[in-house]
Formats: sequence, structure tokens, C-alpha cells
Amino acid sequence: MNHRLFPAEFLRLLDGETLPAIRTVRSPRPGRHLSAATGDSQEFQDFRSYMQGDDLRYLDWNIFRRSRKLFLRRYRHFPDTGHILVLDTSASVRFSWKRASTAWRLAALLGAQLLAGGDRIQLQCPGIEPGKHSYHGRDSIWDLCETLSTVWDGKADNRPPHAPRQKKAKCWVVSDFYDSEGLPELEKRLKNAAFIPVRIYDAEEYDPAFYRQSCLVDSETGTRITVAESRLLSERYLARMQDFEALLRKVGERAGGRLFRMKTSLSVNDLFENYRREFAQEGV
Amino acid sequence: MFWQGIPWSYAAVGAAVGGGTVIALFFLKVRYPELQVPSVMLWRAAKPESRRTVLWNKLEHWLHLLCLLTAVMAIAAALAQPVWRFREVPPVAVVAEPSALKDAEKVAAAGDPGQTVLIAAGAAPEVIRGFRSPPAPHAVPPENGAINRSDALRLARQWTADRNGRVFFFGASAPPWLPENGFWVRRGLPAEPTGPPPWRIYFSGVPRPDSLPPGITAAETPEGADVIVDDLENWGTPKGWAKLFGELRALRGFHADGLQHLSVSESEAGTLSKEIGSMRLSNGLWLLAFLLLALDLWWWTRRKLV
Repeated sequence: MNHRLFPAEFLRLLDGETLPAIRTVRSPRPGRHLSAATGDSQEFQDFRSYMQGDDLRYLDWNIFRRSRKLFLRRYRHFPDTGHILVLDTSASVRFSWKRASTAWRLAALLGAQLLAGGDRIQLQCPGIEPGKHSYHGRDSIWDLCETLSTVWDGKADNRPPHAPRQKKAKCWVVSDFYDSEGLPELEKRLKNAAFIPVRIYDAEEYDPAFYRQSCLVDSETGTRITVAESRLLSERYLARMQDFEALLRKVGERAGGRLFRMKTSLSVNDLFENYRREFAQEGV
Repeated sequence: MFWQGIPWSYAAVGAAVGGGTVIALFFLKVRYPELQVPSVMLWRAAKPESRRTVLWNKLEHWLHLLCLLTAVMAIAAALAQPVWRFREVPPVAVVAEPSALKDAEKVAAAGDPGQTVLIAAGAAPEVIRGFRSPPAPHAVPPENGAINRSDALRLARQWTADRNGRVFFFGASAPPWLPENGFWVRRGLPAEPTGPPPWRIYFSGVPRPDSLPPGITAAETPEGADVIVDDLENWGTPKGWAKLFGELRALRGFHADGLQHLSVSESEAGTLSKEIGSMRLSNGLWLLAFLLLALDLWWWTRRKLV
């Protein structure tokens, strides 16, 4: 376990008790969310009157014996379709400690929350083979952290993260979503994509003045771009940023979620608080 | 080619210093500090599509530098006030008393830039235009009472004598003496030779020119003509006018002092001293420098905008 990446105070937060509460969702979503639909689990939900064609196996014979009326026992529905957690390990995410640590911790928090809820998750790190792919149950949280620590030491890969096409699986992608091929290429790739983007960003990315009169060097490709002091260029940059986030938002909504954003350079506690605020309303 | 402003060696040193400064500033300015960033994806999308060739990208900075250096060289050369002499013309010296310096300035300014000097007849003669002195009309204060005309005229003769040049003296009173080809420019003298007008010229054996100066008419017959012209060589040129005025001046008759034959009006003096044989290049150099800097600024601003 990498204790610099996952210090004790962070691991304490992963026990699931303090993570955002599980909420009822309207549509059947993967994992142990309370669902409006009934199913064949062991957990009793309620009774209803028998209707022609109902499965006789669910008839409550005790009630019938006492009241001579037919009631059907209904059980909760727990769709078990799984989650896929994709962690981008490209050079742009590993660019700095604050970016990389935020991405890794975010993946750990997200994974812990899903596992604490009884979900099954599958970890994918493009370009790196994690020792263990599948995790299930609260006890797997520590295994997940171990694996993420191993991945941390793996070699960076510039391949952009991609969401596997797996039906009924909800795919969470933790990344900055910077494509080495450029914005048009990214737009083309995400045209039909369906995953929930969890984007990490540095605060200065929204401040073009920070970059002016500099020769910017891309950490992935080494491409150089000279940024002169120009209001017009700054406005165009911010407009592209808006387009970029609108695209990610659209992708997230297509997958039944939204775009989650997380600022880097936060302390462990601040990161956790921000995570709670950001994800609590979703009830993942 | 000769220089009328600062010595060319000074200009060369100035150009070297200015050029060196421009080169140093250019590299300091163009080489932006490198900043490693996670990705330039959005910056690349924010910059408009460039249709420039790779060659142009490489040459772009160097052309910008060349533009700046040329502008600096042009400014240094303009300060040296180079004059290009394309033909030989007789030298002209304009000697002026402080009271007539303003009129003399006009005549001297209209003359050949390389062959016209303006000498102020102050307590000591001082060249205030021409040679290598910069124009400085304030060099001889008008209130300076001590006026030494003789020394100024001597200096003028020194400048003109060996090349058959002309000397024009601007003063309220008659000069003590005049060198050969010297004229006293008298204010109020009629511009045209209008003795008993009109002056009539008969053109003998040569076609009549299209234009005649005001106050002069063409006579149909030699009888009654004041002057008979049988040679149209140099007609309309300063030399031709000098010859015609020289012939008419003797017939004039109203300034009956001893210097009548040496007197000319201001416009006559202007005409006689207007023979141009060289050209100042400083104005063109200033213009070139201005255009280069404006072009460079426009290009730089445009480059920054995108």
C-alpha cells in the first residue's frame, strides 16, 4: 500500500460509514440501490392481492389459511449489473503529484462507495494491467486500494481512457479527458460514448492569464504552443473549455448521470468533503 | 553621395548599438519561458487554423528581426542626412543679414541641397545650412548689432569662386562689395522685369515657346521688340531665365543706384538658385523606417491577436 498516496486519515474515510448515503433511484441502476421494481431477492418488501397469472410460488399460504384470501409476497429487486471504474493513467493525469493523487484518491473513494453499497466493480487502467480486476463487497475496498497503489507505480500510458461497451454496466471514467490527438478527435471519439465522466482539473486551467506569454509544452506529446498576451485568444480558450465540458456533460447525461468535476490540490479532508457534496445528490 | 547631418561614422556606431539592442531585445522577447502543462489540447483548439507553410513558420521570426534591423539602419542613415548627387550644378551661397534670414532661408531651402549654403552675416560668419552644419536659424540672434558682411561674403566667395557659382546677398542696405556672379536680393523689387511694360520679345528664327512669364509678350516683328531671342537653348530653365533677366535688367531703369545691375528680386533669386543636382535621401529614409515599424507593429499585433 502506498501510504503517501493513501494515508491513514484517508483510509479511515473509506470505511463507508461517512460516504454519501444510498438513495432510492427512479430507474433500475446497477448495485444495491433501492429500486421501485420488485424482484426475487431474499428481502421482503410488501404484499399485494393475487391476480390471475401471478406466480403461485409467491403466495402467502399463512394469510390464506387465516383469512381465506390470496396475497402475494413481494421481494425487493437488486439488479446486479456491475460497475466499471476506469482510471486514466496517462501522462497528463500523472503530470503533477496533485493531479495524480487527486485522480487516484477519487477512484478509491468512488470504488469504496460502490463496494460499500454492495456493488460489484471492475477496475480498468488503460495501458496497465492491474493485478486484480473484479471487486465485490465491503472487504474489497482494501484490495482496491492495494491495486491502485500498484497501478501508481506502473508506467504511464498515453492512450486515452475508453469506456468498454458492456451492456447494463455503468462505467465511471476518472480522467482529465485531455486527448493527445486534440479536441476534434476527442469529439469524434465521444460521439456515441456512454459513460459517466469524473473530471479532475487544476484551478489555473480556468484562468488563461496564468499561461500568457509562455511557450506551453504538452506533457504527453511535447507539442509546443506559444501563447501571447491576447484577450481574443483567452476568450477563445474559455469558449473551447465550455465546449469541452458541454461535450462531457452530454456524454454523462447519455449514460444516465452527469459530469462530475473535482479540483486538484485539495487536502484529504477537503477532497472528501468536496466528494460528498458532489456525489451526495446523485446517490451513486 | 555625401552627408549633411551627423558624421557617417557616428551614424554607423549608432546603427551598430541600436541594431545590437534590437537583436538582444528580440531574442529576449520572442523566447517565451517554457511552461510544462498537462495538455495543450484546448489551446490548440483555441488557435485558428494556420495555413502558413513550414518554411514561412521558420522565416517568420527572422523576417520580423530583419524588418526591425532595417528600420534601425534607416533611422541611423536618416540622422546622417545622406545626399545623393546625380549631376554637377554650380554652387550657390546665400548670405543673409539677421533681419533678412527668414527670406534667405526660403531661397536656400529651394536650392540644391548639396550645393547651396546659407551664411548668416553676424558678428562672425556662420554657416547655418549646407556643408555639414545642421540648420540653426537661431545661431545668429537678430538683435545682434555687430554685423560683419565682408567676412560673410568672403566665405561665400570661397565656396563658389572655383566652380563658377552664384552668391545672393539678403540685406536691407547695399553690400560693401559683391563677388563675381553676386546678386543683391532686394525686397520690393518687382518679380518680373517690368520697366516700361510690357516687355516685348521677338523670337528670331526659332519657334515661339508655349509659355511666357507674366509681363512679357511676344512681338510679331523685330521692330519695337525690347529683346531679340535667337536661341532657345536653356529656355525655361534657371540658366535660360538668368540670361533673359540679365539682358532685360539693363533696360529696367527704376532703381537708379550704382548696384542696379546687380539687384534681383526674391523670386528671381529663387529661380536662379533653383538648379537641382542632388537629392536628399533623409526624408525617404524616415518614411521607410516609419513604414517598416508600422508594418512590423501591425504584424506583431495581428499575430498576438490570434
